Amino acid sequence: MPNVISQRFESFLSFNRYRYLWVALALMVVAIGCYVFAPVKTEHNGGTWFGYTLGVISVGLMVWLAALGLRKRLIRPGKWSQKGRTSAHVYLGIALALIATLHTGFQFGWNVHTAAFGGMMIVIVSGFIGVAIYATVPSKLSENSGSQTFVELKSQLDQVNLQLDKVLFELDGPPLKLGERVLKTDGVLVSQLRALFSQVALPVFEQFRDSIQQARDAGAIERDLSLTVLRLTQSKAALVKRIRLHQRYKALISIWLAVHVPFTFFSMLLVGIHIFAVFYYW
Amino acid sequence: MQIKLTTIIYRQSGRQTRKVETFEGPKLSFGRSASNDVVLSDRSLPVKCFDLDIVDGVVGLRATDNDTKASIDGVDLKRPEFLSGESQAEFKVGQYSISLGLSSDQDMVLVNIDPGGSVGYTPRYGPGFRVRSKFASLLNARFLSWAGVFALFALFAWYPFSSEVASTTTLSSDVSDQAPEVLWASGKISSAHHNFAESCDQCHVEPFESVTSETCSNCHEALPQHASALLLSLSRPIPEGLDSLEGLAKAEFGIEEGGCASCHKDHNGDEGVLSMPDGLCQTCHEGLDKRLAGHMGAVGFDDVGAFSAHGDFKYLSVDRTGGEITLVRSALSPSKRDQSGISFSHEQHLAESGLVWEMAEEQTLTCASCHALDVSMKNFKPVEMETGCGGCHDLAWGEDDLGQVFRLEHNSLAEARYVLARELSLASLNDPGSVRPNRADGNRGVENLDAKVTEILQSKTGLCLECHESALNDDGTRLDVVTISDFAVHATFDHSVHKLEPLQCNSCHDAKGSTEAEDVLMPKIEVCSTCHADPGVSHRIESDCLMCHEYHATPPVFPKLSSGLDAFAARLVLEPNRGGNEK
Repeated sequence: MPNVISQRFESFLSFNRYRYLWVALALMVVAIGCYVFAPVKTEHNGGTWFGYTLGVISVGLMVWLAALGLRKRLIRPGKWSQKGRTSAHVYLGIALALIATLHTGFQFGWNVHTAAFGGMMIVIVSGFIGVAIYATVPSKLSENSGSQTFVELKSQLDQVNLQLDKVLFELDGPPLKLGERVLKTDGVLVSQLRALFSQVALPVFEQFRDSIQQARDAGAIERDLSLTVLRLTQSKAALVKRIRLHQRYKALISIWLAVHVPFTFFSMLLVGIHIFAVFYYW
Repeated sequence: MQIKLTTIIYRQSGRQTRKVETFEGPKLSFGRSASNDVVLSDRSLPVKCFDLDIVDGVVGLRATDNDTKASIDGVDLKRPEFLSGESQAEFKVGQYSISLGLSSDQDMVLVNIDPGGSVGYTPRYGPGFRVRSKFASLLNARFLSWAGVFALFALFAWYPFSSEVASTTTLSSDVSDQAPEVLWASGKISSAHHNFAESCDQCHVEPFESVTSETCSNCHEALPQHASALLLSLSRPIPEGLDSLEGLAKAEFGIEEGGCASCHKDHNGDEGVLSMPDGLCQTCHEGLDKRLAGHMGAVGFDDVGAFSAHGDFKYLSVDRTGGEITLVRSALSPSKRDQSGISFSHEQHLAESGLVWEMAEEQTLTCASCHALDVSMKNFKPVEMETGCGGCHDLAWGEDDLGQVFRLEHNSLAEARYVLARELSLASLNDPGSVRPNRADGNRGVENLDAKVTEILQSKTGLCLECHESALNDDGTRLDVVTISDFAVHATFDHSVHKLEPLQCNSCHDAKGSTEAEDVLMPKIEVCSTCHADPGVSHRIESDCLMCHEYHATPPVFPKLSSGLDAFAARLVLEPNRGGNEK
């Protein structure tokens, strides 16, 4: 199963025998060749005829690349492939980085023009990270949660929490204190941040288990009760681990989207202002 | 003895009911845990709280939890105390009020428990995870997009545009203190234009219209034309292919061709406004002889495509062939003489022995003994007779008996003759025996005064002809001296930047080997090309046209010299109006 999934997620890169990789490479070679050999009378910048040509190509590519988000939502009959479109999106995005850089003529400054370029480069560079995330994370995500949805996992955890809370009525001393901590290991914000930044393994579960076993050995609690507690703890630990991994994977995608998508709009806005400003002060 | 337990139950409807249970003694346990006989559902209580014990018919309470040390309403749970003799006791445990008593027949212990409200398990933690947390909603791409787009629009569009519309023409002297429009500028404005940094409309007069030469000429008035409009139009190659397309596009968008903006672009920061790319001069100057066939004589120079293709330098010199004094601009050759009218030997003056060496207190003169850079530090000041030569060559024409030396000032010939004639006649009137002219016979009378003056000044050994040997005109009335300050009229040369080791004056000017003033001591282009080369040649100084030539320079007009030359030595400075008249 994992193999099949990873093959499917790899395939947008190798779509149609890397057709769009070759298209992008050809585009880049032509652009570099023209940049070197174009009979431009002044130094290269966006304002020569060649610069305007590169600029028009760049803005066209930007709009087309951004339209991936529209295209994938317009599900309708016809001969088109979302996989192919994504493949082209990746490779032509790389070509855009080069073409837009040549358009600048390597002239940068603290202004809207360089801001537009910077915004676009953030989108493209984050795109590389996106390719890595989308090639690995979805398969891990389905491996982790199996056939269960996040809501199902969450409702299971609520059930375990409820039983654990009831069981805590029977406990006293150190096991109670540790048990309270085990019960609380699912705070909303803290848990999500932990899921992102800290390890998934939870030492408090181990400590709680140890304290229960000690209490049982000391005869402080009955065997049946200790077994119940241990079973619930084990269930909760497994569920928390899965939920945290789930959150981590989801958060990776969310954070990536929260960079890639907004910066797409930022760079399009800035390119719009860039074009306006250039011709306003021609 | 039996125990009768009555528990008040608070229903959700608000109704209270009682649950009555009967236990066989003698012991009843109370606590939070479900393992107790009586469960006190209060999290503040211990798992096992206390036991009710009946020993030998006496009812007592005993704390079973070691941690519970406190007494409950006077009943000390630490030390078991039996309620013998007492018929009733009441105390509170957590939220529970518990009362104990004996039945009237002393046969049954009555325990009443009032929880004080509804009890039972209530989950302390609600649903553990929200499916979408506040944290996750912050990462919402749509929210971030809108927020950022508004912020960026405000910063990069509304702010600069509103301030541009509201901008005044107040000038700022601080380049860094620029208006927010600078966010729209394609680069830092040059220091020459920094006064306009805050008022874009000084140059960008109309929105969506490119800057015109007319706007530039508002300040840059009457810049010299590079050449006549006719010559310029003939020089430009007819555009072909992409160039013709570019021309069409420029015409379509109203961008002028060949205007100031063809060469000058601002917003290049410290690089300045001159954006002269390699090869822009060559656009016209390569193949010029084909396009200007028949006009090249008027142009005055050859078709030059690069430094390496540059022909021999042409220098100005004075020519006196046939009695006519004319200026000649030609390449160096053995026959090229600069007939300024001065007799001078560089060799003699730079010799390490001999007359000059002796007069200079046995020191060898150097170039700097006579030649000094002018204020521009680029060129040399003309050598003045008084300061340059006067140290040795004073114009002493006589002395009196007391040894006082009489000198003339370096002046025009007519003036010198007048002054000398006056001095001679005055001397003869006052004291006929006093003044002895150095260069005339012993006749001290005023007779033949004119001949005497001529003898003192213009005879072969006369004062003037010591240096101005060939400058005397035919009728002996004028000294037609013509010296040239600027030998290369189409080019500039900066001496100050060439003061580099191991360069010396004689690296370019062979003065030590020159015995005559007519020698033109200017270097050939080969001397320059030891260091200078075309752009792109490694280990040489990349030299384009503008290194030596000015674009905005009018071609020099040579005056007709043979007529109207001043009697006094003429110093010919041909200033081709370099740099133009700028406000």
